[in-house]
Amino acid sequence: MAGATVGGPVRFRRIRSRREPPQPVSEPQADTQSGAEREPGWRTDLAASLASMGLGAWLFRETFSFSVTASERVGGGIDAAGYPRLLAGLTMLLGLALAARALWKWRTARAAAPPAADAEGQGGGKVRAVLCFAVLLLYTLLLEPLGFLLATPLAVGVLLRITGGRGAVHAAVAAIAFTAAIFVFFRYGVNIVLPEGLLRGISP
Amino acid sequence: MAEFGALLAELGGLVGLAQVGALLIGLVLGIIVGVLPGLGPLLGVTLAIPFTFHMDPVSSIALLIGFYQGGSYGGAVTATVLGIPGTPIAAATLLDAHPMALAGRSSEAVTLATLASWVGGLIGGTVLLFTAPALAKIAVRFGPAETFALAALGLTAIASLSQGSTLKGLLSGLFGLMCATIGTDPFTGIARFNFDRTEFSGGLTFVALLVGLFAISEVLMQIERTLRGWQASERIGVAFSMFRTLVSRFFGYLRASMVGVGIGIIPAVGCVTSAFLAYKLARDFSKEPERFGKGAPEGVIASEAANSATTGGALIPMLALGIPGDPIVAVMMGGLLIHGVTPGPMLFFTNLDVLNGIFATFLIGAMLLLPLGLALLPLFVRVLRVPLDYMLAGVLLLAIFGTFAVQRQTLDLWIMWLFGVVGYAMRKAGFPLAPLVIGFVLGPIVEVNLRRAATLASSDLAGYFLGRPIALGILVLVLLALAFPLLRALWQRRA
Repeated sequence: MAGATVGGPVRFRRIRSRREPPQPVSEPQADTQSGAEREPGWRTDLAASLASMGLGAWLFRETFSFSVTASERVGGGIDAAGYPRLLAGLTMLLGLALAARALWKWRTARAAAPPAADAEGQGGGKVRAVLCFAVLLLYTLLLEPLGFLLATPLAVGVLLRITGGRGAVHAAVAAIAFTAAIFVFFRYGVNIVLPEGLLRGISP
Repeated sequence: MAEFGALLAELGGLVGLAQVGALLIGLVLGIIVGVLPGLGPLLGVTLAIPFTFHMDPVSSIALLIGFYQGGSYGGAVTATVLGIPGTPIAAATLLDAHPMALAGRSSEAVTLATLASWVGGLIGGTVLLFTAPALAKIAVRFGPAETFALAALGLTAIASLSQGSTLKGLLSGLFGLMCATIGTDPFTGIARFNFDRTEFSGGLTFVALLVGLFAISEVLMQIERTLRGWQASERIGVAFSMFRTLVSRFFGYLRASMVGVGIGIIPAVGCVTSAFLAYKLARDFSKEPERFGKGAPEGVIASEAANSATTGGALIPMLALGIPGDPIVAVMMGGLLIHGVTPGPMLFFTNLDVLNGIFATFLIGAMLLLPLGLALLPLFVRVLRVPLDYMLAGVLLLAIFGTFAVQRQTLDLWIMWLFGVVGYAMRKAGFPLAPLVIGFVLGPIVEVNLRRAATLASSDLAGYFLGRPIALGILVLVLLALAFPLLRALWQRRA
């Protein structure tokens, strides 16, 4: 069997979505594992620092509403309210450090040339993501009243139209197939009843 | 050797048909998510978590281990045939596997990657089997101060050693710790941050947070990027001649696997670093280093053996110390906690059957990877033909109904969407997500042990820690982990 090779050399061709113009191949983000994207600019950092400080301040204030009795105040202040207060304080402190870092970035960025615009994820991509998210929120609202079997094909059909630019018939057929597959898997595979909505009593 | 064989036979006896079935499903689906560009083992394990609720603990962890092992390997197929890593883990594999494919040796490259993953997984599993119990024997003597220090080390290490800003990593970890305080206080029963809703008395639903953070934010990122797919036009198969390398390049397999296990034990460093380090070592030890990057089989062996062995190494601190070293292991730890099984040294005394089941399923999974990977290779390559929009729709539906199935309430879906947006915004702002999920998982451990230590210390917490040398030593490591990025920057500036 030595030296035997089944199959031959593989050649792949890239297919683009019908909506997108030809673009160079980009590899997935190297840090997908930890979820971090590329280093953002000073404005994003400043916004993030303000959000961190705001969140920390709100949580810090909230801890004073906890009803900790005198007998429960043990551990030198690190109690039911003291521990989250400590975390909130650290968050504000680190948020402040991030703000200082953002200002430092701003100072150095002033001297440098303006950064080139990111080729991907701009314009159409962002609109597409926002549209899809809006459809998903609407779907969650309608899931209980309409039921899985009515709401899902509608939502999936619209999502396929937005993300793949597919025709109405193609999207409808695919949406029905997806709905049926998920329904069979949950209902008969793992025995979970999905929301029945309008079809209560008549859905399988 | 005979003792090892007897041990294996004993472990094998602990695993039934249901567990092997769950493992097989996990392996096949894990390879598929690994093959699909942009997905990967983390997303696979995350999507699998809701389905483990109705399983016994060993079947549940078997499914997750299958996803972990399969997902870590699957990226190699994409790296070879497409020239892009299916997962970041396969980035080092790409360097030589794709040139091999371009030279008409794609079958050889994929076979080699499968063999290397198999060897790496087996060595990683064996080291796990012997090292974790030894480490647990030491850790079982730890008190609340040492346990708190260890949890702090796990969290700060992931925050400072993962890519990007340490400051953002720490903030992300703090956010995770704060999310863990939502609900009822573990000592006094006081309601905290529950927004006057009884649904939050048990805390945030782990699955909703996890799926939102990783799956929903990833789908949104994918939708935002340019949508495209790939299609195979020729076939790929098994090159049996590559089996000879198991003998001729034995030390290459062994060296890379040991590097992988060693790196896996260190929190936060992970598969990507281990693969590149093993690759560099293989090139440095090679008599013909100039062949690397042009289709050298040793390069494929090094990166794949190392990244597979890392999976075994990464489970050691989680099982022995209760500290997850990477986000995938943190999710797996969450999966065990759902079943009331708390990883850590006490696991070796209180849940020995579950622990042995984990060891057994890991080794069986590592063994099955070779026949499964080679037999189903054409299927995995064909998976790449699935249009991206179909793939995303499938992931979304599984995410939505997987989360819904846990408690059958739409509130969990809203939490999932909220964390989807949080995850998306954090990625955009350069915040790593891994510390958040590790902070959430470690949150109760950090709080309970810090408060216990504070109670024992009365009013002198610093004096209490100073009087406990192990805790103090670990806290010094925490400081070193925090200082590491600064030292690295100084070193790079000087270089």
